[in-house]
Amino acid sequence: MEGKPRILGVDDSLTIRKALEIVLKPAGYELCLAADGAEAIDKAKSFKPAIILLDFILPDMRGTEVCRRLAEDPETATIPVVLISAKGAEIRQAYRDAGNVVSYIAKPFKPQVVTSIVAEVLAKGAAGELVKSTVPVHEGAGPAALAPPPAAPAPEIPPVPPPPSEPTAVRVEASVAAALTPPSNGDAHAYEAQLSRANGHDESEEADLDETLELESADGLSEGARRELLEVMFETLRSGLEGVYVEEVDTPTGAAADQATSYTDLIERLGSQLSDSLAHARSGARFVLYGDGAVRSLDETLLDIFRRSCRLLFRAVVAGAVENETIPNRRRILVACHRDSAVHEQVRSLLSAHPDWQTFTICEGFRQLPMMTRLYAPTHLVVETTWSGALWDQLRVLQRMPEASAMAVVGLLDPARTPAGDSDQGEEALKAALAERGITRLLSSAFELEHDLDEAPTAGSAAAAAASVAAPAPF
Amino acid sequence: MVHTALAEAGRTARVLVFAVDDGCFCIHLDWVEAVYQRVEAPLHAVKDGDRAGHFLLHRGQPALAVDLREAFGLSPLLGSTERAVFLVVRAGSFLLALQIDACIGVRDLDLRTQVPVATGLVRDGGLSVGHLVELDGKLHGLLEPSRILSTTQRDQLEPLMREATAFRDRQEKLLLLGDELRREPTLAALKTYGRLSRRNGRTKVAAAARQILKAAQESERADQYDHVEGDLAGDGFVRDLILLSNTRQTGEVEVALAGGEVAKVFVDMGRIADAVVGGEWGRGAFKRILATREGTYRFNASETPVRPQRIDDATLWLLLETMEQLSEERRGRHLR
Repeated sequence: MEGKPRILGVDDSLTIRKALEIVLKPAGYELCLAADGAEAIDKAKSFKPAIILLDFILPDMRGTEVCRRLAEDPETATIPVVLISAKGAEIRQAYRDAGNVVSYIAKPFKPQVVTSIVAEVLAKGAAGELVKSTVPVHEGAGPAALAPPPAAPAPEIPPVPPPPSEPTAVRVEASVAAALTPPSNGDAHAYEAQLSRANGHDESEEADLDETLELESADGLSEGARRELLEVMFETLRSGLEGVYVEEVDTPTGAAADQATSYTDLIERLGSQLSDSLAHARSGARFVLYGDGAVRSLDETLLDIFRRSCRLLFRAVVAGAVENETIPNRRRILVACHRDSAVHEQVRSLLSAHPDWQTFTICEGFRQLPMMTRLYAPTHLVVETTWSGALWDQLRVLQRMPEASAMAVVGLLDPARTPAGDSDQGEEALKAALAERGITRLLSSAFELEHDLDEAPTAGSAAAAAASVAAPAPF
Repeated sequence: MVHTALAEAGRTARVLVFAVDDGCFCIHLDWVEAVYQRVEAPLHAVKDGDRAGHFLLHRGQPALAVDLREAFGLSPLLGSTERAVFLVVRAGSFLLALQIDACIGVRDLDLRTQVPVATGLVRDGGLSVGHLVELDGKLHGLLEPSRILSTTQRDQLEPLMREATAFRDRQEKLLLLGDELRREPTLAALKTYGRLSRRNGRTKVAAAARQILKAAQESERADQYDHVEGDLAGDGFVRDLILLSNTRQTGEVEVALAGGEVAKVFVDMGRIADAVVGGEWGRGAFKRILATREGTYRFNASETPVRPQRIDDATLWLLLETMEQLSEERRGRHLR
């Protein structure tokens, strides 16, 4: 290849593209950038790069799709692709499936990792040895991560690190903050202050920022490149800091939390955001550069989590809706029996031993059963089976309710009140009558009941019941 | 643990406990506007297309009657029923008249001692209809009034509510017109009164107004207002009373009843000021005379003003009210 080796960098994040530019251009590569899959394919044909650094998740298509299209086109089929992503497991699959993917870089990455992988892939390509790369994935801070990739051959399928949390975050301390470090004198604060003054920024603000940025020494970047990256950093950081005090400026996951469709969804999204910040905290980096270009400090992220948690809890509390979501394996038990029956006593002692089971008991006025079943949506209905009259009648009504399909109706025998005595014949008749009323399980002791409640039904069926009840009821 | 807003307040909440289908329910007292016994409830029927319903007017606001069976989608299973009491609660922009079996009383609900369980029945956006709590060892449904109805149900009720509001507006107009008719009655006002009454389902009033208007039209054509006499069997008596009113006559209408009894209606400057029959004076006497269908009458003009004047209302209004009362009484007798 004549002249500078050409590299096509594809990422929808402006910051990542900027980072690639800052890292690769000074290293002597001719860089072309694309923000989405379609643009990447077009530029691959026109720019004819020696290597493509391809983000795995793009706005218009997945990296695998881009790889497939590149491989199908004779013009681009031979261009080696290096995938960039935080999604370790998916990358591994893509690496297996796509023939033109020769290596990958896991986010967060360090500048040295990018340059070394690019150099290695180009060298192997030039030597005609381009097989699937064995370059391990580099992520995280620390000396090991700063070390160059091992030269020794590795298995065809590279080891995949534990998947980092979503959204993808490039740690600043190595890839960006390191780039901010002044090359020679090591006086980071003075350097930053100088930059601030040069850019007309508020000195005190940036002095504060200096204190929070981890400025480490790093080689290989020119002062101009560092300065350029620093400006990007400050810009994003400034907007991010402003956003802390604005109601709806959030981290990507935080913003996604607002799009949650249910409280469970919201809680899950919040959990995801919490995982992000935990990963952030564990990494030791004070700033995280997100895939969308936003830079947030750990303080900001935690503040955002805190604020969102408060909002979530507030909304949930006001709505009283958190407990609407069926908690897996949570028992919602409705007991219908007379107060003076042995069943009542048995059930009461059993339930007191299981405070995690949510229980309500109806001891009189059984006409309320359909309405309370509709309201409570129990997973289990435990009924005293030796009673006739209102309870008996209501069981027939319950059978016609949609809740019946998702609710286990358990009959509990009261030996003292078995209508037809203790004879087998009487019990058989009772069982038949119970079956008519939807009671499929007939138990004779609290022990059996405990065992039964421990098993079925699943939370899924309870959720299905809740869902069916939640649907607009006929009016 | 998740607490409701009630629990969040860290205080006990005062709730009204009531019974529906043997079940105990409660609503925070802040949302309860009134409790009406069905027999005394100002209940009205309302219809929009195929959909019919009832509402009661509470302090001038229509409150749609809703049963929890309907609200919870249990009507197809349990059928509909008529309950003894209406509980008027504010449910967002609506007033709802919840049909309940009985009011049990006001209770202090201490949510610090127990965590309420959100209902599995949820409304739009996954919000629960209320919470389940235990009071005195009994399961109670603590309802959130604004979520008793789903949005779909509210949308379905919206036309009825519009109708109810229109009813209320007509009712207000009727009140104003009634005042006007009492003081300075005009045929135009009476006509409007009759029309609005008919639209609001007061058919007896509408019929009475129609009858009076017809009599008034006939009285306009009458030319011998100084020689008024006739038979009680026809509609001539009302017509002639209106004629006397229009011509501002003073005197007495002597009514010879079938049993030989004599009744009198005193007219002062056209207005019916008093009446007497069998020792009874005033409105009651006039009603009895108007109810009578056998006998004759004759007007005797006089220059002497009527004293005392036991009837204050204008003649048209008096006729309207009396005829409505008579009509209602006849209907009552018929039903009995």
